[in-house]
Amino acid sequence: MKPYRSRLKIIMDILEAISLHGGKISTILTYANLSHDRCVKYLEELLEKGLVEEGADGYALTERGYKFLQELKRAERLAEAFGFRL
Amino acid sequence: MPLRVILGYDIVMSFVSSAAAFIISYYAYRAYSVTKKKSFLLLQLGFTFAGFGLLLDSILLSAAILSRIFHLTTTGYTLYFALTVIAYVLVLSSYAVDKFEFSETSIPSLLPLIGFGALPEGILLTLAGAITIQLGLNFLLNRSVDKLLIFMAFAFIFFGHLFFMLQAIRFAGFLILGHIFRFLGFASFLAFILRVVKPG
Repeated sequence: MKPYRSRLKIIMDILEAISLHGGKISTILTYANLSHDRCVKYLEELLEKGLVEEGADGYALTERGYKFLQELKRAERLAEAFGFRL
Repeated sequence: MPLRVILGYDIVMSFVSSAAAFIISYYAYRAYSVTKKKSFLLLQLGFTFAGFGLLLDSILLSAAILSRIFHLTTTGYTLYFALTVIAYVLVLSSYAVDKFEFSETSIPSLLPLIGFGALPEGILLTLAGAITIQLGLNFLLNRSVDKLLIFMAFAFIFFGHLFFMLQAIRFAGFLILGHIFRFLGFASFLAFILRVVKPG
Protein backbone atom coordinates (compact mmCIF):
# COMPACT_ATOMS: atom_id res chain seq x y z
CA MET A 1 0.00 0.00 0.00
CA LYS A 2 1.28 3.47 -0.90
CA PRO A 3 2.01 5.53 2.23
CA TYR A 4 -0.36 8.44 2.78
CA ARG A 5 1.17 11.81 1.91
CA SER A 6 -0.33 14.79 3.69
CA ARG A 7 -1.02 18.13 2.00
CA LEU A 8 1.84 19.66 3.97
CA LYS A 9 4.24 16.94 2.81
CA ILE A 10 3.20 17.53 -0.81
CA ILE A 11 3.87 21.26 -0.45
CA MET A 12 7.22 20.46 1.13
CA ASP A 13 8.08 18.10 -1.75
CA ILE A 14 7.20 20.79 -4.32
CA LEU A 15 9.28 23.45 -2.55
CA GLU A 16 12.17 21.03 -2.17
CA ALA A 17 11.96 20.01 -5.83
CA ILE A 18 12.16 23.67 -6.87
CA SER A 19 14.97 24.38 -4.40
CA LEU A 20 17.12 21.40 -5.39
CA HIS A 21 16.29 20.65 -9.01
CA GLY A 22 14.98 23.91 -10.51
CA GLY A 23 11.55 25.22 -11.27
CA LYS A 24 10.58 23.66 -14.61
CA ILE A 25 7.12 22.15 -14.36
CA SER A 26 8.28 18.77 -15.75
CA THR A 27 11.02 18.61 -13.09
CA ILE A 28 8.60 19.51 -10.31
CA LEU A 29 6.16 16.84 -11.53
CA THR A 30 8.88 14.20 -11.44
CA TYR A 31 10.39 15.02 -8.06
CA ALA A 32 7.14 15.88 -6.27
CA ASN A 33 5.44 12.85 -7.86
CA LEU A 34 2.19 14.63 -8.78
CA SER A 35 -0.22 14.76 -11.69
CA HIS A 36 -0.05 17.91 -13.83
CA ASP A 37 -3.42 19.25 -12.67
CA ARG A 38 -2.71 18.78 -8.98
CA CYS A 39 0.76 20.25 -9.31
CA VAL A 40 -0.55 23.38 -11.06
CA LYS A 41 -3.21 23.77 -8.37
CA TYR A 42 -0.59 23.61 -5.61
CA LEU A 43 1.74 25.98 -7.49
CA GLU A 44 -1.06 28.53 -7.86
CA GLU A 45 -1.60 28.38 -4.11
CA LEU A 46 2.12 28.78 -3.43
CA LEU A 47 2.29 31.76 -5.84
CA GLU A 48 -0.68 33.34 -4.08
CA LYS A 49 1.02 32.94 -0.68
CA GLY A 50 4.26 34.42 -1.98
CA LEU A 51 6.28 31.27 -1.40
CA VAL A 52 7.26 30.86 -5.08
CA GLU A 53 7.58 33.24 -8.00
CA GLU A 54 7.33 32.64 -11.73
CA GLY A 55 10.28 33.60 -13.94
CA ALA A 56 11.67 32.91 -17.39
CA ASP A 57 13.12 29.55 -16.29
CA GLY A 58 9.97 28.44 -14.50
CA TYR A 59 9.29 28.65 -10.78
CA ALA A 60 11.73 29.78 -8.09
CA LEU A 61 11.51 30.00 -4.32
CA THR A 62 11.08 33.45 -2.82
CA GLU A 63 12.97 34.40 0.36
CA ARG A 64 9.79 33.63 2.27
CA GLY A 65 9.43 30.30 0.49
CA TYR A 66 12.99 29.35 1.36
CA LYS A 67 12.45 30.20 5.04
CA PHE A 68 9.15 28.30 5.05
CA LEU A 69 10.89 25.24 3.59
CA GLN A 70 13.60 25.40 6.28
CA GLU A 71 10.94 25.61 9.02
CA LEU A 72 9.05 22.70 7.48
CA LYS A 73 12.22 20.61 7.37
CA ARG A 74 12.84 21.30 11.07
CA ALA A 75 9.23 20.47 11.88
CA GLU A 76 9.58 17.21 9.93
CA ARG A 77 12.70 16.23 11.90
CA LEU A 78 10.97 17.05 15.17
CA ALA A 79 7.91 15.06 14.08
CA GLU A 80 10.00 12.08 13.03
CA ALA A 81 12.06 12.13 16.22
CA PHE A 82 8.91 12.04 18.34
CA GLY A 83 7.15 9.55 16.07
CA PHE A 84 4.56 11.88 14.50
CA ARG A 85 3.71 12.20 10.83
CA LEU A 86 3.90 15.54 9.07
CA MET B 1 7.33 11.07 54.38
CA PRO B 2 10.97 10.72 53.20
CA LEU B 3 13.16 13.74 53.78
CA ARG B 4 14.09 15.69 50.69
CA VAL B 5 17.82 16.34 50.63
CA ILE B 6 19.12 19.47 48.91
CA LEU B 7 22.53 18.99 47.35
CA GLY B 8 23.09 22.37 45.77
CA TYR B 9 24.09 21.18 42.32
CA ASP B 10 20.62 19.62 41.92
CA ILE B 11 19.23 23.18 41.83
CA VAL B 12 21.59 24.03 38.96
CA MET B 13 20.72 20.78 37.14
CA SER B 14 16.99 21.47 37.47
CA PHE B 15 17.52 25.00 36.21
CA VAL B 16 19.50 23.86 33.14
CA SER B 17 16.97 21.07 32.50
CA SER B 18 14.14 23.60 32.59
CA ALA B 19 15.99 25.69 30.01
CA ALA B 20 16.29 22.60 27.78
CA ALA B 21 12.57 21.92 28.18
CA PHE B 22 11.74 25.52 27.21
CA ILE B 23 13.98 25.27 24.13
CA ILE B 24 12.19 22.08 22.99
CA SER B 25 8.89 23.84 23.70
CA TYR B 26 9.96 26.78 21.53
CA TYR B 27 10.85 24.54 18.58
CA ALA B 28 7.62 22.58 19.00
CA TYR B 29 5.79 25.92 18.87
CA ARG B 30 7.65 26.89 15.68
CA ALA B 31 6.72 23.53 14.18
CA TYR B 32 3.10 24.11 15.20
CA SER B 33 3.07 27.61 13.70
CA VAL B 34 4.07 26.30 10.24
CA THR B 35 2.17 23.00 10.25
CA LYS B 36 -0.85 23.74 12.51
CA LYS B 37 -0.64 20.15 13.72
CA LYS B 38 -2.26 19.72 17.13
CA SER B 39 0.31 17.12 18.19
CA PHE B 40 3.01 19.81 18.05
CA LEU B 41 0.84 22.14 20.12
CA LEU B 42 0.41 19.45 22.79
CA LEU B 43 4.14 18.75 22.70
CA GLN B 44 4.83 22.46 23.11
CA LEU B 45 2.45 22.72 26.05
CA GLY B 46 3.88 19.54 27.58
CA PHE B 47 7.44 20.82 27.52
CA THR B 48 6.32 24.25 28.77
CA PHE B 49 4.71 22.62 31.81
CA ALA B 50 7.78 20.42 32.33
CA GLY B 51 10.02 23.49 32.10
CA PHE B 52 7.92 25.45 34.60
CA GLY B 53 7.83 22.48 36.97
CA LEU B 54 11.62 22.23 37.02
CA LEU B 55 12.10 26.00 37.15
CA LEU B 56 9.71 26.56 40.07
CA ASP B 57 11.25 23.64 41.94
CA SER B 58 14.76 25.03 41.54
CA ILE B 59 13.62 28.55 42.50
CA LEU B 60 11.80 27.34 45.61
CA LEU B 61 14.73 25.10 46.61
CA SER B 62 17.04 28.11 46.35
CA ALA B 63 14.54 30.21 48.30
CA ALA B 64 14.36 27.52 51.00
CA ILE B 65 18.13 27.57 51.44
CA LEU B 66 18.42 31.36 51.42
CA SER B 67 15.45 32.03 53.70
CA ARG B 68 15.82 28.87 55.82
CA ILE B 69 12.08 28.25 55.40
CA PHE B 70 12.38 24.57 54.58
CA HIS B 71 8.72 23.84 53.95
CA LEU B 72 9.25 25.69 50.65
CA THR B 73 10.94 22.50 49.39
CA THR B 74 7.61 20.65 49.82
CA THR B 75 5.78 23.43 47.97
CA GLY B 76 8.42 23.22 45.22
CA TYR B 77 8.04 19.48 44.90
CA THR B 78 4.23 19.70 44.87
CA LEU B 79 4.36 22.18 41.99
CA TYR B 80 7.00 20.12 40.18
CA PHE B 81 4.95 16.95 40.58
CA ALA B 82 1.65 18.51 39.43
CA LEU B 83 3.20 20.29 36.43
CA THR B 84 5.24 17.24 35.39
CA VAL B 85 2.18 14.97 35.52
CA ILE B 86 0.34 17.46 33.27
CA ALA B 87 3.40 17.62 30.99
CA TYR B 88 3.63 13.84 30.57
CA VAL B 89 -0.11 13.51 29.99
CA LEU B 90 0.10 16.23 27.31
CA VAL B 91 3.03 14.47 25.60
CA LEU B 92 1.13 11.18 25.68
CA SER B 93 -1.98 12.94 24.35
CA SER B 94 0.04 14.25 21.40
CA TYR B 95 0.40 10.61 20.28
CA ALA B 96 -3.33 10.04 20.60
CA VAL B 97 -3.99 13.17 18.50
CA ASP B 98 -1.42 12.13 15.92
CA LYS B 99 -2.93 8.66 15.75
CA PHE B 100 -6.34 10.23 15.18
CA GLU B 101 -4.96 12.39 12.35
CA PHE B 102 -3.07 9.51 10.71
CA SER B 103 -5.01 6.45 11.78
CA GLU B 104 -3.51 4.19 9.12
CA THR B 105 0.17 4.86 9.45
CA SER B 106 1.17 6.08 12.89
CA ILE B 107 2.57 3.87 15.62
CA PRO B 108 0.05 2.70 18.23
CA SER B 109 -0.81 5.11 21.05
CA LEU B 110 -0.12 3.92 24.59
CA LEU B 111 -2.43 6.43 26.27
CA PRO B 112 -4.73 3.79 27.83
CA LEU B 113 -1.74 2.18 29.59
CA ILE B 114 -1.39 5.06 32.05
CA GLY B 115 -1.53 3.71 35.57
CA PHE B 116 -1.33 5.37 38.95
CA GLY B 117 0.91 4.32 41.79
CA ALA B 118 0.84 5.39 45.42
CA LEU B 119 4.01 7.45 45.35
CA PRO B 120 4.29 10.61 43.24
CA GLU B 121 7.57 9.48 41.70
CA GLY B 122 5.88 6.17 40.88
CA ILE B 123 3.21 8.04 38.94
CA LEU B 124 5.83 10.10 37.08
CA LEU B 125 7.83 6.90 36.50
CA THR B 126 4.77 5.24 34.95
CA LEU B 127 4.01 8.19 32.68
CA ALA B 128 7.66 8.63 31.66
CA GLY B 129 7.82 4.87 31.06
CA ALA B 130 4.83 4.98 28.70
CA ILE B 131 6.42 7.83 26.71
CA THR B 132 9.75 5.96 26.62
CA ILE B 133 8.09 2.81 25.22
CA GLN B 134 6.27 4.93 22.63
CA LEU B 135 9.56 6.51 21.55
CA GLY B 136 11.32 3.13 21.65
CA LEU B 137 8.77 1.75 19.19
CA ASN B 138 9.23 4.84 17.04
CA PHE B 139 12.99 4.28 17.04
CA LEU B 140 12.72 0.57 16.27
CA LEU B 141 10.33 1.23 13.40
CA ASN B 142 12.81 3.36 11.50
CA ARG B 143 16.15 4.06 13.14
CA SER B 144 17.86 7.44 13.07
CA VAL B 145 20.15 9.46 15.34
CA ASP B 146 17.37 12.03 16.00
CA LYS B 147 14.96 9.32 17.12
CA LEU B 148 17.64 7.71 19.26
CA LEU B 149 18.39 11.01 21.03
CA ILE B 150 14.72 11.63 21.85
CA PHE B 151 14.28 8.02 22.99
CA MET B 152 17.42 8.27 25.14
CA ALA B 153 16.20 11.56 26.62
CA PHE B 154 12.99 10.02 27.94
CA ALA B 155 14.77 6.79 28.91
CA PHE B 156 17.19 8.82 31.06
CA ILE B 157 14.28 10.77 32.58
CA PHE B 158 12.51 7.46 33.25
CA PHE B 159 15.55 6.12 35.12
CA GLY B 160 15.82 9.45 36.92
CA HIS B 161 12.29 8.95 38.29
CA LEU B 162 13.12 5.33 39.12
CA PHE B 163 16.11 6.39 41.20
CA PHE B 164 14.12 9.18 42.86
CA MET B 165 11.44 6.64 43.74
CA LEU B 166 14.01 4.19 45.14
CA GLN B 167 15.57 7.00 47.13
CA ALA B 168 12.17 7.97 48.51
CA ILE B 169 11.46 4.36 49.56
CA ARG B 170 14.66 3.71 51.44
CA PHE B 171 17.87 3.96 49.39
CA ALA B 172 19.22 7.48 49.93
CA GLY B 173 22.24 6.89 47.71
CA PHE B 174 20.07 6.85 44.60
CA LEU B 175 19.32 10.56 44.92
CA ILE B 176 22.49 11.66 43.11
CA LEU B 177 21.90 9.10 40.34
CA GLY B 178 18.34 10.41 39.95
CA HIS B 179 19.54 13.96 39.42
CA ILE B 180 22.29 12.88 37.03
CA PHE B 181 19.94 10.77 34.91
CA ARG B 182 17.24 13.44 34.69
CA PHE B 183 19.90 15.96 33.71
CA LEU B 184 21.27 13.58 31.04
CA GLY B 185 17.73 13.31 29.67
CA PHE B 186 17.41 17.03 29.15
CA ALA B 187 20.97 17.18 27.82
CA SER B 188 19.89 14.66 25.15
CA PHE B 189 17.04 17.00 24.18
CA LEU B 190 19.57 19.81 23.82
CA ALA B 191 21.82 17.61 21.67
CA PHE B 192 18.85 16.85 19.42
CA ILE B 193 17.92 20.53 19.08
CA LEU B 194 21.53 21.43 18.25
CA ARG B 195 21.44 18.86 15.41
CA VAL B 196 18.14 20.24 14.09
CA VAL B 197 19.14 23.91 14.12
CA LYS B 198 22.60 23.22 12.70
CA PRO B 199 22.72 24.87 9.26
CA GLY B 200 23.02 22.70 6.14
